[in-house]
Amino acid sequence: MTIDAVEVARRVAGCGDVARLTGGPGGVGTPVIGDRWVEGVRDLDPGIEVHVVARWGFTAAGLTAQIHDRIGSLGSPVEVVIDDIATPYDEAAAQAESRPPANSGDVPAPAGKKSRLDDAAKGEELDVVLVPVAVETVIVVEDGGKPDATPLSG
Amino acid sequence: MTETMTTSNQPPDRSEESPRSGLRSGSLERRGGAQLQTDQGNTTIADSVVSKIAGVATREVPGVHDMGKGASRAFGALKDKLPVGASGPNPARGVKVEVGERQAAVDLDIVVDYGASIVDVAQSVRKNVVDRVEGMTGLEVVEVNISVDDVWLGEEEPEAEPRVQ
Repeated sequence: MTIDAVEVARRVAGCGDVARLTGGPGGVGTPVIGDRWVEGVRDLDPGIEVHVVARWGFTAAGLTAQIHDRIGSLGSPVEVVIDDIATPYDEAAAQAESRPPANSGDVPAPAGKKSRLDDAAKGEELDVVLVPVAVETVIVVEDGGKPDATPLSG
Repeated sequence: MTETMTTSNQPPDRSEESPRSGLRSGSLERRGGAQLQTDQGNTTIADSVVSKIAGVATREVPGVHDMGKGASRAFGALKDKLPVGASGPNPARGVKVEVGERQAAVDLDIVVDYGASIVDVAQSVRKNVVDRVEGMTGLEVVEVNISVDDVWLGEEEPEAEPRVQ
């Protein structure tokens, strides 16, 4: 039986203790139609293997139960591999990256690196919330070529 | 001025046996991690996860200034100054773990702040590491060996300006 790797990835990524799926050191993944690749999901036939990055504060038993609850109906047994953990330092770095620099009108970039799952998810019915990004208009006023600006006060 | 003090939560009369002899290993070591077995499948935890948990747990303790031996700290400080790819301290620096099927042993290299009680810091580190690793992974931590490699005396003061021109 062939598993629906995109659906497995979508359900696992929705677990509270899962930061994201990962290919891990071995680059685990499953090819899907359209020359796409879903990281962190492998069809064991029978069974499913998922590789995840856990959130800081997880418990192994809790994370396992969450994943089993979500994808147990898609295949059994479910093998969970916790390849990495997102530490508080990683989260702080991600926040710092997403924060715009001071005195800049740049639109903040979305945090995190775009994964192959994003490409694989295109066109699929995923629970993706599109957040509108506010675009700030920056008006640059030039001084019309005056050699020196007039001081505001004497 | 560097002094090394090693403490352990094991009794000292273990000279005849390996320090890791209490570690029960299992078939899951082929993956290099611990395993939690359930009726619906297994969960494997990579060694690097245990290392990072132990490292963050150590840095959470007041009095711990940094981790790692001299060379790795110098390399880490250089890396932190790079504008690209800076992501905070490497939480696994100064941490060595040995993970079996149900148990884990942790070795830590730390730098303590000057003025902090090294004994108190070591006890707090040991307790926090055991709590975090056991709470998150379910592994039994049988050893936490702490090596205090240095004492942080603070930033070097800039040279005083000469009193005469």
